[in-house]
Amino acid sequence: MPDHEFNLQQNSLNQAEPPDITSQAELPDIAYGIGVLGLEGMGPARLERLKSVAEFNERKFTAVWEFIIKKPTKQIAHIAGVKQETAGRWKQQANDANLEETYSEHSDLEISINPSLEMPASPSISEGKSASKDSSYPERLMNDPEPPLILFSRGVCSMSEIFSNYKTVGIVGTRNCSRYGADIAYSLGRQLCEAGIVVVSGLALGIDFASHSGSTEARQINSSTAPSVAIVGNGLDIVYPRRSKKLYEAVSGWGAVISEAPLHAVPQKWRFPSRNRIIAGLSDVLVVVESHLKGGSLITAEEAGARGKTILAVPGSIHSPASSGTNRLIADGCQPYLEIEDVFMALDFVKAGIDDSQQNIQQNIQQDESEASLSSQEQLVLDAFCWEAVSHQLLLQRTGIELEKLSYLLESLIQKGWVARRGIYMERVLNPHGK
Amino acid sequence: MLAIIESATVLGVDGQRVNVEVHCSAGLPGFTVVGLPDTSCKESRDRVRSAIISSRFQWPMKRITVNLAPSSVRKIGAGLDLAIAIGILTASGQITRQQSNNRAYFGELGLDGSIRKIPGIVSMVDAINSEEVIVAPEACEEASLIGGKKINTADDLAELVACLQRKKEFSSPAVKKYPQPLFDVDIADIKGQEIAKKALELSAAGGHNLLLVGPPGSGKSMLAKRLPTLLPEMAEKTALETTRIHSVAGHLHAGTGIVKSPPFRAPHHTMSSVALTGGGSSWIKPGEISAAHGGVLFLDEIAEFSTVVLDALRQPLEEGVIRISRSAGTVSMPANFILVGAMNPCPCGRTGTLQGCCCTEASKAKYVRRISGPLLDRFDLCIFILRPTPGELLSGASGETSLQIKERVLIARARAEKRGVRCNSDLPPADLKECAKLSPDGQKMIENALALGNLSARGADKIKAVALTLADLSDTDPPIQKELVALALQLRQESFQQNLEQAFLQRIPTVCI
Repeated sequence: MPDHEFNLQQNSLNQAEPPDITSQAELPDIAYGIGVLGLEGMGPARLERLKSVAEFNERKFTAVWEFIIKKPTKQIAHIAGVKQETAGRWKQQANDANLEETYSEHSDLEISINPSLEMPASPSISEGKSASKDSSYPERLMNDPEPPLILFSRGVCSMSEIFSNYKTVGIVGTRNCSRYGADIAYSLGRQLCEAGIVVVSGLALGIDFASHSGSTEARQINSSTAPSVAIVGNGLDIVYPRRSKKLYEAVSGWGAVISEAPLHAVPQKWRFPSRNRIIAGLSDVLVVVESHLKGGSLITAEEAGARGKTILAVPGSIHSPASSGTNRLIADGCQPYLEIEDVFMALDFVKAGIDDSQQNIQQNIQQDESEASLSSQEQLVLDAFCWEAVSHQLLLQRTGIELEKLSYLLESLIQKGWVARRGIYMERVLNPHGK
Repeated sequence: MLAIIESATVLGVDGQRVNVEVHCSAGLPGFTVVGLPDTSCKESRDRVRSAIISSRFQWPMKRITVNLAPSSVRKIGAGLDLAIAIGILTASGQITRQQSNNRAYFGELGLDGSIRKIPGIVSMVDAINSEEVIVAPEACEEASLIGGKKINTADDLAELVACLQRKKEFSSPAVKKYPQPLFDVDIADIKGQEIAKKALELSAAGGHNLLLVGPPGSGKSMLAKRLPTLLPEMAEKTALETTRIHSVAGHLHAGTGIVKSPPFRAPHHTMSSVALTGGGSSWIKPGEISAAHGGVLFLDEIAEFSTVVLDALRQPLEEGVIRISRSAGTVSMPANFILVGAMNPCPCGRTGTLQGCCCTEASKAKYVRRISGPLLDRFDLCIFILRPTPGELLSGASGETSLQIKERVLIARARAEKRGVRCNSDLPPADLKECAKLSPDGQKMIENALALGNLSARGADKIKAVALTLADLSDTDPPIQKELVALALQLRQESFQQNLEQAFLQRIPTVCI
């Protein structure tokens, strides 16, 4: 009799029907799954198609693996929808692979399989799935139109801990962002984390980096804040981009870093759309901070929209190319993000009352105090930025202050932290001394 | 018989005196030239022989040996033809020694005996002892640029010998008047861009190297070409050096006279390292940097120059000379110029335009890395220029003209001269410390910048030089005000790698697992 109590965490040893090949009988089905995912160019779409050969098998991944090893390349290519050369490479890799070794490398990761993968041999199984406490597969992804088959996670918190106990907000945006956008993402990440909401983002440079930096700062100040989650498109042993190493360590240090790809998978272009849809799927609300007219974050927004999630977009200067995409989203009907309360409302979230308002007042007082330390001329120059990236020349024209004097004012603003030089431009910094 | 005739050759940009010794002796007729002649020099044999015969003189049927002393120096070019011919005529008794004595002869001989001009006359004339010089007619002008020698000329060998034998008078070359060179561009052609114009003014006044960064069409080349209009005339010493260099390189055209206005050289980025710095296998020719001596070297699209080439610039920028070593020895050529570079801020060229930059971090980093580090450090001024708006372009208002700015530049240069240098960037560090006293506020600004890591220690010195030039331009004495220090700080670019992520990481210093 088939054993219905699947333990989908590691070491599932259900032996309902003997597998077709007797070798490596001790290895659980997931090990084969890892092997299949490790094949070059094996993405979710192709895997989905290959899944059909395992329709009547209990051990789905084992069946797929065997299919690849035994069947002719032409057949593999036909089923998977790939070229024969690719199928040939798969066969080669499968024959050369050491499943045991690869599986043991994954032993310190949390692995979660989509429960709907299992073809219900009897209806009770699927019911048992969602009711089972052991299920670590995030509920938000269960009814996803394109759910990931397997999720790998590294971190102090388990996926079920995070996704069952907290609300989630996704923060996305362009890598080529302005200081304005980055500061907003940072501040948003920090405030959400403080409020006890999970920040879901990637580890890419720009907006993703800023949002996780913010949540990390919140964590440093108060260690009982919500965990954060980073979704990456490559294997969890690779840190990409390199500059995000510290953030990777931070997020896995109290939250989780999650990927659909097994270890050693290199970051490749085609992995990013899949990563984006996981972000969209896992967020209750998605905030798009900055985007150019064409950008990956707009696609993430589309995916979120298709899943019925609320999307907020941050408006920006009409002169700023980095805000052109987000402004366009708002023009097309997306709700604008103006302050943190907008996110709370979208989440139906009520922040723990008294502390919160005090904190806000505190913040405002600090902001006023530090701004008061600026002279009126410095304030004039600061206002001339209009919160966009400006060149020296432009400031000269806008303020009408003579060049040497303007230089002095700018330099003292830079040295006090109110303005930052970035390449060809200077940008105003949000809240340099604020909490 | 033995005859010794004076002439010269070129070594780097200096002349090297050569004594042409001709010996006719009994023996099988033959003609050898010794003394390290180069290929064109060796070919003299045939030219000289035909020239002498064409001029109706006798070719001596003797064993002729020509020695070009000193024999350890390589003799370059065909300029010794004339001296060899005169030597042979003297040694074979067709001219007396008295007639050919006390003169130096420079020129190439044609097969019909005509005397032709050779490059480098200016340096050669400078190197000889005799007081009288015989050159080709076209070379008279160049030869007369160095004062103190009597210049005589003849059209061909026959005429020359006739003059030497007093059968004819030397024709006196006409003394030419050299008109003042006029510029056809003016800085007022550029609309707006006050900061860039200020930077040009600074560069002209203090000799500071300038880097212009901006998208295509922002006017970088236009600005650079107008820098010479702001520079004062060269001092005599520099002018002579430059004239010699141009003479050797063959750049001196008829009617230019001594090069007084600072040269402007703009080599293309496909130029080889040797063509830029100077050198060569057979003889060491001055390169573009020497041709720019006393003036401006403009490297447009500086990021496209190969790293080898850019690296070769470091020594001349530091020392003002270029030393080229070959197995035969080291040659030193002057190369004291203002370096102006122009580049795009990123490979796609769209930063600063409405569309925004579309480069990946990696490609941008790779692009700017080419002039990061030691070369970027050499630029005291770095300006970011953006395309002018249509409003600016069409406005009738124009700024100052070159002449107006030049007045201030001259004031600043005069102040520098009182300190004993040509311009502030030539000030040695000890003198700089002495002269560039900052006001307490100014000093504080620099200290803050150092503390924040926005400035390196070496950069701090460069800032002082620029601030001093700013003070000179406004004709004020030290201590230097804080506004000028601030401007100098903003004009200095330490590195192009300014990433946002750094700023955020600084806020979360203790990241632990």
